[in-house]
Amino acid sequence: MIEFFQTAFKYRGILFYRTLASLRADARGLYLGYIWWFLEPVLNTALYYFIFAVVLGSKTPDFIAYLLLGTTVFQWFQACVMGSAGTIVSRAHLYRRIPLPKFLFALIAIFANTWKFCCVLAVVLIYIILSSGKGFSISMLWLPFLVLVQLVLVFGLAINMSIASAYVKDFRTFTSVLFRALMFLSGIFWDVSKVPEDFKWAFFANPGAAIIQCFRSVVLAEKSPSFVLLAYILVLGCALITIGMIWHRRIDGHILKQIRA
Amino acid sequence: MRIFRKNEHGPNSSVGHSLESDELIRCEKVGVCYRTPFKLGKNFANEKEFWALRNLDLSLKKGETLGVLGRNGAGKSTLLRLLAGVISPDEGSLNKTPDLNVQLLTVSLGFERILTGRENAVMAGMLLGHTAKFMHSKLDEIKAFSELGDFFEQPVYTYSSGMVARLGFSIALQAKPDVLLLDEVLAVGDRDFKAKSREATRSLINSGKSVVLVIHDRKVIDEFCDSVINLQSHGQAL
Repeated sequence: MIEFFQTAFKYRGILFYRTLASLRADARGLYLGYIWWFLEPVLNTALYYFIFAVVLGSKTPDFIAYLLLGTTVFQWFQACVMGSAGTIVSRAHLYRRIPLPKFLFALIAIFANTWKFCCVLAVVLIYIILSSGKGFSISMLWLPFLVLVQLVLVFGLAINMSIASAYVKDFRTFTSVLFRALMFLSGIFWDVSKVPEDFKWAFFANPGAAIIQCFRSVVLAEKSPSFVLLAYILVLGCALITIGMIWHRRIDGHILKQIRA
Repeated sequence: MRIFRKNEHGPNSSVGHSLESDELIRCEKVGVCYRTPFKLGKNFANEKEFWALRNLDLSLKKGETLGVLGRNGAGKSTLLRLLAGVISPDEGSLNKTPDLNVQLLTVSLGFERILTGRENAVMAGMLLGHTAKFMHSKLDEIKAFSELGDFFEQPVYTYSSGMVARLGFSIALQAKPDVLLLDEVLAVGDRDFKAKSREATRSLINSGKSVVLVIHDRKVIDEFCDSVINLQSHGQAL
Protein backbone atom coordinates (compact mmCIF):
# COMPACT_ATOMS: atom_id res chain seq x y z
CA MET A 1 0.00 0.00 0.00
CA ILE A 2 2.63 2.51 1.09
CA GLU A 3 4.97 0.98 -1.46
CA PHE A 4 2.46 1.84 -4.16
CA PHE A 5 2.37 5.52 -3.30
CA GLN A 6 6.15 5.64 -2.91
CA THR A 7 6.58 4.17 -6.39
CA ALA A 8 4.04 6.56 -7.86
CA PHE A 9 5.86 9.47 -6.19
CA LYS A 10 9.22 8.28 -7.51
CA TYR A 11 7.91 8.33 -11.07
CA ARG A 12 5.94 11.57 -10.64
CA GLY A 13 7.90 13.35 -13.38
CA ILE A 14 7.17 10.67 -15.94
CA LEU A 15 3.56 10.40 -14.78
CA PHE A 16 3.02 14.13 -15.11
CA TYR A 17 4.65 14.45 -18.51
CA ARG A 18 3.13 11.33 -19.99
CA THR A 19 -0.32 12.34 -18.77
CA LEU A 20 -0.01 15.73 -20.44
CA ALA A 21 1.34 14.10 -23.57
CA SER A 22 -1.40 11.52 -23.72
CA LEU A 23 -4.07 14.22 -23.36
CA ARG A 24 -2.40 16.19 -26.10
CA ALA A 25 -2.05 13.12 -28.32
CA ASP A 26 -5.69 12.27 -27.67
CA ALA A 27 -6.86 15.70 -28.76
CA ARG A 28 -4.58 15.97 -31.78
CA GLY A 29 -5.67 12.65 -33.14
CA LEU A 30 -9.33 13.60 -33.38
CA TYR A 31 -10.91 16.06 -35.75
CA LEU A 32 -12.83 17.85 -32.99
CA GLY A 33 -10.05 17.48 -30.43
CA TYR A 34 -10.92 18.52 -26.89
CA ILE A 35 -14.52 19.27 -27.83
CA TRP A 36 -15.18 15.54 -27.71
CA TRP A 37 -14.60 15.52 -23.95
CA PHE A 38 -17.77 17.54 -23.54
CA LEU A 39 -19.68 16.31 -26.54
CA GLU A 40 -19.56 12.67 -25.46
CA PRO A 41 -21.42 13.08 -22.12
CA VAL A 42 -23.83 15.55 -23.70
CA LEU A 43 -24.71 13.08 -26.46
CA ASN A 44 -25.06 10.26 -23.94
CA THR A 45 -27.29 12.36 -21.74
CA ALA A 46 -29.40 13.42 -24.72
CA LEU A 47 -29.84 9.79 -25.72
CA TYR A 48 -30.83 8.67 -22.20
CA TYR A 49 -33.12 11.65 -21.81
CA PHE A 50 -34.88 10.84 -25.06
CA ILE A 51 -35.37 7.17 -24.18
CA PHE A 52 -36.23 7.47 -20.51
CA ALA A 53 -37.95 10.84 -20.19
CA VAL A 54 -39.56 11.34 -23.59
CA VAL A 55 -40.34 7.77 -24.63
CA LEU A 56 -40.77 6.02 -21.28
CA GLY A 57 -41.96 9.08 -19.38
CA SER A 58 -39.64 8.88 -16.36
CA LYS A 59 -40.60 11.37 -13.64
CA THR A 60 -37.26 11.69 -11.81
CA PRO A 61 -36.89 15.30 -10.61
CA ASP A 62 -34.03 17.33 -12.15
CA PHE A 63 -33.63 14.51 -14.63
CA ILE A 64 -31.06 16.21 -16.88
CA ALA A 65 -28.77 17.09 -14.00
CA TYR A 66 -29.32 13.62 -12.57
CA LEU A 67 -28.35 12.01 -15.89
CA LEU A 68 -25.38 14.30 -16.54
CA LEU A 69 -23.80 13.53 -13.17
CA GLY A 70 -24.44 9.81 -13.51
CA THR A 71 -23.00 9.49 -17.00
CA THR A 72 -19.90 11.61 -16.40
CA VAL A 73 -18.98 9.86 -13.15
CA PHE A 74 -19.60 6.40 -14.57
CA GLN A 75 -17.81 7.23 -17.82
CA TRP A 76 -14.77 8.27 -15.78
CA PHE A 77 -14.84 5.11 -13.70
CA GLN A 78 -15.15 2.89 -16.77
CA ALA A 79 -12.55 4.74 -18.84
CA CYS A 80 -9.98 4.50 -16.02
CA VAL A 81 -10.38 0.78 -15.43
CA MET A 82 -10.82 -0.26 -19.06
CA GLY A 83 -8.08 2.10 -20.20
CA SER A 84 -5.55 0.54 -17.86
CA ALA A 85 -6.48 -3.03 -18.74
CA GLY A 86 -4.36 -3.51 -21.85
CA THR A 87 -1.41 -1.32 -20.88
CA ILE A 88 1.11 -4.03 -20.03
CA VAL A 89 0.68 -5.74 -23.39
CA SER A 90 0.48 -2.53 -25.42
CA ARG A 91 3.61 -1.15 -23.73
CA ALA A 92 5.46 -4.46 -23.66
CA HIS A 93 8.10 -3.13 -26.04
CA LEU A 94 9.02 -0.45 -23.50
CA TYR A 95 8.72 -2.65 -20.43
CA ARG A 96 11.11 -5.09 -22.16
CA ARG A 97 13.82 -2.46 -22.46
CA ILE A 98 13.57 -0.44 -19.29
CA PRO A 99 12.82 -1.82 -15.83
CA LEU A 100 9.65 0.04 -14.83
CA PRO A 101 6.80 -0.80 -12.49
CA LYS A 102 4.27 -2.60 -14.65
CA PHE A 103 1.40 -0.36 -13.55
CA LEU A 104 3.09 2.85 -14.72
CA PHE A 105 1.13 3.20 -17.93
CA ALA A 106 -2.08 2.20 -16.17
CA LEU A 107 -1.55 5.18 -13.85
CA ILE A 108 -0.99 7.45 -16.83
CA ALA A 109 -4.28 6.30 -18.36
CA ILE A 110 -6.00 6.97 -15.03
CA PHE A 111 -4.54 10.45 -14.59
CA ALA A 112 -5.40 11.43 -18.15
CA ASN A 113 -8.98 10.26 -17.70
CA THR A 114 -9.24 11.95 -14.33
CA TRP A 115 -8.09 15.28 -15.69
CA LYS A 116 -10.63 14.93 -18.49
CA PHE A 117 -13.32 14.10 -15.94
CA CYS A 118 -12.49 17.13 -13.79
CA CYS A 119 -12.84 19.45 -16.79
CA VAL A 120 -16.18 17.92 -17.76
CA LEU A 121 -17.38 17.93 -14.15
CA ALA A 122 -16.61 21.64 -13.85
CA VAL A 123 -18.80 22.37 -16.86
CA VAL A 124 -21.56 20.08 -15.59
CA LEU A 125 -21.46 21.88 -12.21
CA ILE A 126 -21.69 25.28 -13.85
CA TYR A 127 -24.70 24.05 -15.84
CA ILE A 128 -26.39 22.63 -12.74
CA ILE A 129 -25.74 25.76 -10.66
CA LEU A 130 -27.08 28.05 -13.40
CA SER A 131 -30.07 25.94 -14.37
CA SER A 132 -31.28 25.19 -10.84
CA GLY A 133 -30.95 28.79 -9.74
CA LYS A 134 -29.92 27.61 -6.28
CA GLY A 135 -26.39 28.85 -6.61
CA PHE A 136 -23.23 27.28 -5.25
CA SER A 137 -23.80 24.90 -2.38
CA ILE A 138 -21.24 24.47 0.40
CA SER A 139 -21.64 20.68 0.16
CA MET A 140 -19.90 20.81 -3.23
CA LEU A 141 -16.63 21.32 -1.34
CA TRP A 142 -16.78 17.57 -0.81
CA LEU A 143 -16.13 16.96 -4.49
CA PRO A 144 -12.29 16.92 -4.47
CA PHE A 145 -12.42 14.48 -1.59
CA LEU A 146 -14.83 12.23 -3.49
CA VAL A 147 -12.51 12.25 -6.49
CA LEU A 148 -9.56 11.20 -4.30
CA VAL A 149 -11.49 8.37 -2.66
CA GLN A 150 -12.63 7.09 -6.02
CA LEU A 151 -9.04 7.31 -7.30
CA VAL A 152 -7.87 4.95 -4.56
CA LEU A 153 -10.43 2.40 -5.73
CA VAL A 154 -9.52 2.91 -9.37
CA PHE A 155 -5.79 2.45 -8.60
CA GLY A 156 -6.55 -0.83 -6.88
CA LEU A 157 -8.74 -2.10 -9.69
CA ALA A 158 -6.29 -0.95 -12.35
CA ILE A 159 -3.20 -2.72 -10.94
CA ASN A 160 -5.06 -6.01 -10.73
CA MET A 161 -6.85 -5.55 -14.03
CA SER A 162 -3.70 -4.74 -15.98
CA ILE A 163 -1.89 -7.81 -14.66
CA ALA A 164 -4.88 -10.11 -15.08
CA SER A 165 -5.55 -9.00 -18.63
CA ALA A 166 -1.89 -9.42 -19.53
CA TYR A 167 -2.03 -13.08 -18.52
CA VAL A 168 -5.50 -13.85 -19.77
CA LYS A 169 -6.48 -11.66 -22.67
CA ASP A 170 -10.13 -12.79 -22.46
CA PHE A 171 -10.34 -10.84 -19.23
CA ARG A 172 -10.75 -7.61 -21.16
CA THR A 173 -13.80 -8.83 -23.03
CA PHE A 174 -15.23 -10.07 -19.77
CA THR A 175 -14.67 -6.70 -18.12
CA SER A 176 -16.37 -4.79 -20.90
CA VAL A 177 -19.44 -7.00 -20.44
CA LEU A 178 -19.18 -6.51 -16.69
CA PHE A 179 -19.10 -2.74 -17.09
CA ARG A 180 -22.12 -2.82 -19.37
CA ALA A 181 -23.96 -4.68 -16.61
CA LEU A 182 -22.69 -2.23 -13.97
CA MET A 183 -23.94 0.65 -16.10
CA PHE A 184 -27.51 -0.65 -15.95
CA LEU A 185 -27.11 -1.50 -12.28
CA SER A 186 -25.64 1.84 -11.22
CA GLY A 187 -28.82 3.85 -11.54
CA ILE A 188 -27.47 6.24 -14.13
CA PHE A 189 -30.79 6.70 -15.90
CA TRP A 190 -33.36 5.51 -13.37
CA ASP A 191 -34.30 6.73 -9.94
CA VAL A 192 -32.13 5.08 -7.28
CA SER A 193 -34.71 5.79 -4.57
CA LYS A 194 -36.90 3.14 -6.22
CA VAL A 195 -34.53 0.39 -5.11
CA PRO A 196 -36.34 -1.62 -2.38
CA GLU A 197 -34.89 -1.04 1.10
CA ASP A 198 -34.01 -4.73 1.47
CA PHE A 199 -31.79 -4.69 -1.62
CA LYS A 200 -30.09 -1.35 -0.98
CA TRP A 201 -26.94 -3.02 0.38
CA ALA A 202 -26.63 -5.21 -2.73
CA PHE A 203 -27.23 -2.25 -5.02
CA PHE A 204 -24.56 -0.12 -3.32
CA ALA A 205 -22.09 -3.00 -3.18
CA ASN A 206 -21.48 -2.00 -6.78
CA PRO A 207 -18.80 0.69 -6.32
CA GLY A 208 -20.04 2.47 -9.44
CA ALA A 209 -23.46 2.96 -7.86
CA ALA A 210 -21.89 3.95 -4.54
CA ILE A 211 -19.71 6.71 -5.97
CA ILE A 212 -22.47 8.06 -8.21
CA GLN A 213 -24.73 8.22 -5.17
CA CYS A 214 -22.08 10.22 -3.27
CA PHE A 215 -21.69 12.67 -6.14
CA ARG A 216 -25.45 13.12 -6.39
CA SER A 217 -26.01 13.72 -2.71
CA VAL A 218 -23.26 16.34 -2.68
CA VAL A 219 -24.37 18.18 -5.82
CA LEU A 220 -28.11 17.62 -6.14
CA ALA A 221 -29.30 16.96 -2.59
CA GLU A 222 -26.78 19.45 -1.16
CA LYS A 223 -25.83 17.35 1.83
CA SER A 224 -22.78 15.40 2.99
CA PRO A 225 -22.10 12.11 1.23
CA SER A 226 -22.87 8.85 2.99
CA PHE A 227 -19.85 8.03 5.13
CA VAL A 228 -20.68 4.34 5.01
CA LEU A 229 -20.42 4.36 1.23
CA LEU A 230 -17.24 6.43 1.26
CA ALA A 231 -15.62 4.17 3.83
CA TYR A 232 -16.67 1.14 1.79
CA ILE A 233 -15.05 2.50 -1.38
CA LEU A 234 -11.91 3.50 0.49
CA VAL A 235 -11.49 0.15 2.24
CA LEU A 236 -12.17 -1.75 -0.98
CA GLY A 237 -9.62 0.41 -2.79
CA CYS A 238 -6.92 -0.03 -0.13
CA ALA A 239 -7.46 -3.79 -0.08
CA LEU A 240 -7.21 -3.97 -3.88
CA ILE A 241 -4.02 -1.88 -3.91
CA THR A 242 -2.44 -4.14 -1.29
CA ILE A 243 -3.41 -7.29 -3.18
CA GLY A 244 -2.29 -5.72 -6.45
CA MET A 245 1.12 -4.74 -5.06
CA ILE A 246 1.74 -8.22 -3.65
CA TRP A 247 0.75 -9.71 -6.99
CA HIS A 248 2.90 -7.17 -8.82
CA ARG A 249 5.95 -8.05 -6.75
CA ARG A 250 5.47 -11.71 -7.62
CA ILE A 251 5.09 -11.23 -11.37
CA ASP A 252 7.31 -8.20 -12.00
CA GLY A 253 10.34 -10.13 -13.25
CA HIS A 254 8.38 -12.86 -14.95
CA ILE A 255 5.34 -11.43 -16.70
CA LEU A 256 7.25 -10.35 -19.81
CA LYS A 257 8.34 -13.92 -20.45
CA GLN A 258 4.75 -14.91 -20.98
CA ILE A 259 3.47 -12.07 -23.09
CA ARG A 260 3.29 -12.77 -26.78
CA ALA A 261 3.28 -9.33 -28.28
CA MET B 1 41.41 -12.37 -23.51
CA ARG B 2 39.55 -14.25 -20.84
CA ILE B 3 37.13 -16.91 -22.02
CA PHE B 4 34.37 -17.94 -19.64
CA ARG B 5 33.72 -21.58 -19.21
CA LYS B 6 31.10 -23.47 -17.40
CA ASN B 7 32.03 -23.75 -13.73
CA GLU B 8 35.06 -21.61 -14.29
CA HIS B 9 35.29 -20.77 -10.62
CA GLY B 10 36.43 -24.28 -9.78
CA PRO B 11 35.34 -26.56 -6.97
CA ASN B 12 35.79 -23.95 -4.24
CA SER B 13 33.17 -21.56 -5.52
CA SER B 14 29.86 -21.84 -3.83
CA VAL B 15 26.63 -20.72 -5.41
CA GLY B 16 25.40 -17.35 -4.25
CA HIS B 17 28.53 -15.98 -2.65
CA SER B 18 28.84 -12.23 -2.63
CA LEU B 19 30.48 -9.97 -5.14
CA GLU B 20 34.19 -9.36 -5.24
CA SER B 21 35.30 -5.77 -4.83
CA ASP B 22 35.63 -4.88 -8.50
CA GLU B 23 32.70 -6.94 -9.63
CA LEU B 24 29.48 -5.21 -10.67
CA ILE B 25 27.36 -8.15 -11.72
CA ARG B 26 27.71 -11.85 -11.08
CA CYS B 27 25.45 -14.61 -12.37
CA GLU B 28 25.72 -18.12 -11.04
CA LYS B 29 24.00 -21.09 -12.63
CA VAL B 30 21.35 -18.75 -13.94
CA GLY B 31 18.47 -20.06 -16.01
CA VAL B 32 15.55 -18.28 -17.66
CA CYS B 33 12.51 -20.25 -18.69
CA TYR B 34 9.72 -19.21 -21.04
CA ARG B 35 6.44 -20.99 -20.51
CA THR B 36 3.51 -20.99 -22.86
CA PRO B 37 0.63 -19.08 -21.31
CA PHE B 38 -2.14 -20.99 -19.66
CA LYS B 39 -5.01 -21.82 -21.95
CA LEU B 40 -8.22 -23.69 -21.27
CA GLY B 41 -8.66 -27.01 -23.02
CA LYS B 42 -4.94 -27.66 -23.32
CA ASN B 43 -3.50 -30.63 -21.53
CA PHE B 44 -1.90 -29.45 -18.31
CA ALA B 45 0.87 -32.01 -18.55
CA ASN B 46 1.80 -30.62 -21.94
CA GLU B 47 2.64 -27.18 -20.66
CA LYS B 48 5.59 -26.22 -22.78
CA GLU B 49 8.76 -25.01 -21.13
CA PHE B 50 11.59 -23.46 -23.01
CA TRP B 51 14.84 -22.66 -21.28
CA ALA B 52 16.36 -19.72 -23.11
CA LEU B 53 19.29 -19.70 -20.69
CA ARG B 54 20.55 -22.46 -18.47
CA ASN B 55 23.47 -22.94 -16.11
CA LEU B 56 25.01 -19.65 -17.04
CA ASP B 57 27.95 -18.30 -15.07
CA LEU B 58 29.04 -14.78 -15.77
CA SER B 59 30.84 -11.98 -14.06
CA LEU B 60 31.23 -8.39 -15.13
CA LYS B 61 33.97 -6.25 -13.66
CA LYS B 62 34.26 -2.50 -13.49
CA GLY B 63 35.38 -1.02 -16.81
CA GLU B 64 35.27 -4.34 -18.58
CA THR B 65 33.70 -4.97 -21.98
CA LEU B 66 32.15 -8.38 -22.25
CA GLY B 67 31.25 -9.71 -25.69
CA VAL B 68 28.35 -12.10 -26.11
CA LEU B 69 28.48 -14.53 -29.01
CA GLY B 70 25.81 -16.97 -30.06
CA ARG B 71 23.57 -18.04 -32.88
CA ASN B 72 19.95 -16.98 -33.28
CA GLY B 73 17.93 -18.31 -30.37
CA ALA B 74 20.96 -18.85 -28.17
CA GLY B 75 19.54 -16.47 -25.56
CA LYS B 76 21.46 -13.28 -26.25
CA SER B 77 18.48 -10.95 -25.97
CA THR B 78 17.26 -12.84 -22.94
CA LEU B 79 20.65 -12.32 -21.31
CA LEU B 80 20.49 -8.57 -21.98
CA ARG B 81 16.97 -8.36 -20.52
CA LEU B 82 18.11 -10.32 -17.51
CA LEU B 83 21.04 -7.98 -16.90
CA ALA B 84 18.85 -4.92 -17.49
CA GLY B 85 16.63 -6.14 -14.66
CA VAL B 86 13.57 -6.42 -16.86
CA ILE B 87 13.16 -10.13 -16.21
CA SER B 88 14.41 -12.18 -13.29
CA PRO B 89 16.03 -15.61 -13.38
CA ASP B 90 14.00 -18.76 -12.78
CA GLU B 91 16.95 -20.53 -11.21
CA GLY B 92 20.43 -19.67 -9.99
CA SER B 93 21.46 -16.34 -8.53
CA LEU B 94 22.03 -12.92 -9.98
CA ASN B 95 23.91 -10.41 -7.84
CA LYS B 96 24.36 -6.77 -8.63
CA THR B 97 26.03 -4.04 -6.63
CA PRO B 98 23.30 -1.95 -5.02
CA ASP B 99 21.94 1.01 -6.99
CA LEU B 100 23.72 -0.13 -10.10
CA ASN B 101 22.29 1.64 -13.13
CA VAL B 102 22.19 -0.87 -15.98
CA GLN B 103 20.73 0.29 -19.25
CA LEU B 104 19.96 -1.25 -22.57
CA LEU B 105 20.90 1.10 -25.37
CA THR B 106 18.07 0.99 -27.85
CA VAL B 107 16.85 3.17 -30.66
CA SER B 108 13.26 2.14 -30.18
CA LEU B 109 12.00 4.05 -27.17
CA GLY B 110 8.29 3.77 -27.79
CA PHE B 111 7.48 7.07 -29.43
CA GLU B 112 4.01 8.54 -29.47
CA ARG B 113 3.65 8.97 -33.20
CA ILE B 114 1.26 11.88 -32.95
CA LEU B 115 3.60 14.00 -30.82
CA THR B 116 6.59 15.93 -32.09
CA GLY B 117 10.20 14.81 -32.00
CA ARG B 118 10.87 17.38 -29.29
CA GLU B 119 8.07 16.14 -27.04
CA ASN B 120 9.06 12.54 -27.58
CA ALA B 121 12.69 13.29 -26.78
CA VAL B 122 11.74 14.62 -23.35
CA MET B 123 9.46 11.69 -22.56
CA ALA B 124 11.89 9.04 -23.77
CA GLY B 125 14.73 10.65 -21.83
CA MET B 126 12.66 10.60 -18.67
CA LEU B 127 12.05 6.88 -19.08
CA LEU B 128 15.83 6.51 -19.15
CA GLY B 129 15.92 8.12 -15.73
CA HIS B 130 16.64 11.74 -16.55
CA THR B 131 14.72 14.70 -15.19
CA ALA B 132 12.60 16.85 -17.48
CA LYS B 133 14.92 19.76 -16.77
CA PHE B 134 17.98 17.77 -17.87
CA MET B 135 16.25 16.66 -21.06
CA HIS B 136 15.20 20.21 -21.90
CA SER B 137 18.82 21.31 -21.57
CA LYS B 138 19.87 18.55 -23.95
CA LEU B 139 17.24 19.14 -26.62
CA ASP B 140 19.43 21.31 -28.85
CA GLU B 141 22.17 18.71 -28.72
CA ILE B 142 19.73 15.95 -29.64
CA LYS B 143 18.25 18.00 -32.45
CA ALA B 144 21.70 18.75 -33.84
CA PHE B 145 22.96 15.19 -33.60
CA SER B 146 19.86 13.68 -35.16
CA GLU B 147 20.11 16.13 -38.11
CA LEU B 148 16.33 16.27 -38.19
CA GLY B 149 16.18 20.04 -38.67
CA ASP B 150 12.63 21.30 -38.87
CA PHE B 151 11.26 17.77 -38.62
CA PHE B 152 12.22 17.87 -34.94
CA GLU B 153 9.13 20.04 -34.38
CA GLN B 154 6.90 17.79 -36.50
CA PRO B 155 4.88 14.79 -35.33
CA VAL B 156 6.82 11.54 -35.46
CA TYR B 157 4.30 9.99 -37.86
CA THR B 158 5.65 12.27 -40.58
CA TYR B 159 9.13 10.72 -40.18
CA SER B 160 10.68 8.10 -42.39
CA SER B 161 11.84 4.98 -40.54
CA GLY B 162 15.43 6.14 -40.83
CA MET B 163 14.54 9.44 -39.18
CA VAL B 164 12.80 7.66 -36.31
CA ALA B 165 15.93 5.60 -35.77
CA ARG B 166 18.10 8.72 -35.89
CA LEU B 167 15.96 10.43 -33.27
CA GLY B 168 15.99 7.29 -31.11
CA PHE B 169 19.73 6.98 -31.36
CA SER B 170 20.35 10.64 -30.50
CA ILE B 171 18.21 10.30 -27.38
CA ALA B 172 19.76 7.00 -26.37
CA LEU B 173 23.20 8.63 -26.49
CA GLN B 174 22.15 10.73 -23.48
CA ALA B 175 21.97 7.62 -21.33
CA LYS B 176 24.70 7.62 -18.71
CA PRO B 177 24.46 4.23 -17.05
CA ASP B 178 27.08 2.41 -14.98
CA VAL B 179 26.69 -0.63 -17.18
CA LEU B 180 25.79 -0.29 -20.82
CA LEU B 181 24.04 -3.14 -22.60
CA LEU B 182 24.28 -3.16 -26.37
CA ASP B 183 22.80 -5.36 -29.03
CA GLU B 184 25.70 -5.05 -31.51
CA VAL B 185 27.55 -1.86 -32.31
CA LEU B 186 24.61 0.33 -33.18
CA ALA B 187 24.58 2.05 -36.51
CA VAL B 188 21.38 3.47 -37.95
CA GLY B 189 20.15 5.72 -40.73
CA ASP B 190 21.70 6.38 -44.12
CA ARG B 191 25.37 5.89 -44.97
CA ASP B 192 26.65 9.11 -43.43
CA PHE B 193 24.60 8.78 -40.30
CA LYS B 194 25.60 5.12 -39.95
CA ALA B 195 29.26 6.12 -39.88
CA LYS B 196 28.56 8.88 -37.40
CA SER B 197 26.40 6.74 -35.11
CA ARG B 198 28.89 3.86 -35.20
CA GLU B 199 31.60 6.30 -34.18
CA ALA B 200 29.45 7.61 -31.32
CA THR B 201 28.70 4.08 -30.11
CA ARG B 202 32.39 3.23 -30.25
CA SER B 203 33.40 6.17 -28.14
CA LEU B 204 30.64 5.26 -25.69
CA ILE B 205 31.98 1.71 -25.42
CA ASN B 206 35.54 2.93 -25.07
CA SER B 207 34.68 5.56 -22.47
CA GLY B 208 35.74 3.25 -19.65
CA LYS B 209 32.26 2.07 -18.72
CA SER B 210 31.37 -1.54 -18.19
CA VAL B 211 29.75 -2.84 -21.33
CA VAL B 212 27.97 -6.01 -22.33
CA LEU B 213 28.01 -6.18 -26.10
CA VAL B 214 26.17 -8.70 -28.23
CA ILE B 215 28.40 -9.48 -31.19
CA HIS B 216 27.12 -10.39 -34.61
CA ASP B 217 30.32 -9.52 -36.39
CA ARG B 218 33.35 -11.34 -34.99
CA LYS B 219 35.68 -8.66 -36.33
CA VAL B 220 34.75 -6.34 -33.47
CA ILE B 221 35.88 -8.77 -30.75
CA ASP B 222 39.48 -7.67 -30.84
CA GLU B 223 38.55 -4.04 -31.09
CA PHE B 224 36.33 -3.86 -28.02
CA CYS B 225 36.14 -6.96 -25.88
CA ASP B 226 38.15 -7.84 -22.80
CA SER B 227 36.36 -11.16 -22.52
CA VAL B 228 33.86 -13.17 -24.47
CA ILE B 229 31.06 -15.48 -23.56
CA ASN B 230 29.78 -17.91 -26.14
CA LEU B 231 26.18 -18.99 -25.74
CA GLN B 232 25.32 -22.34 -27.26
CA SER B 233 21.77 -23.18 -28.19
CA HIS B 234 19.56 -23.26 -25.12
CA GLY B 235 21.77 -20.75 -23.49
CA GLN B 236 24.49 -22.89 -21.99
CA ALA B 237 27.73 -21.06 -21.86
CA LEU B 238 30.69 -22.72 -23.49
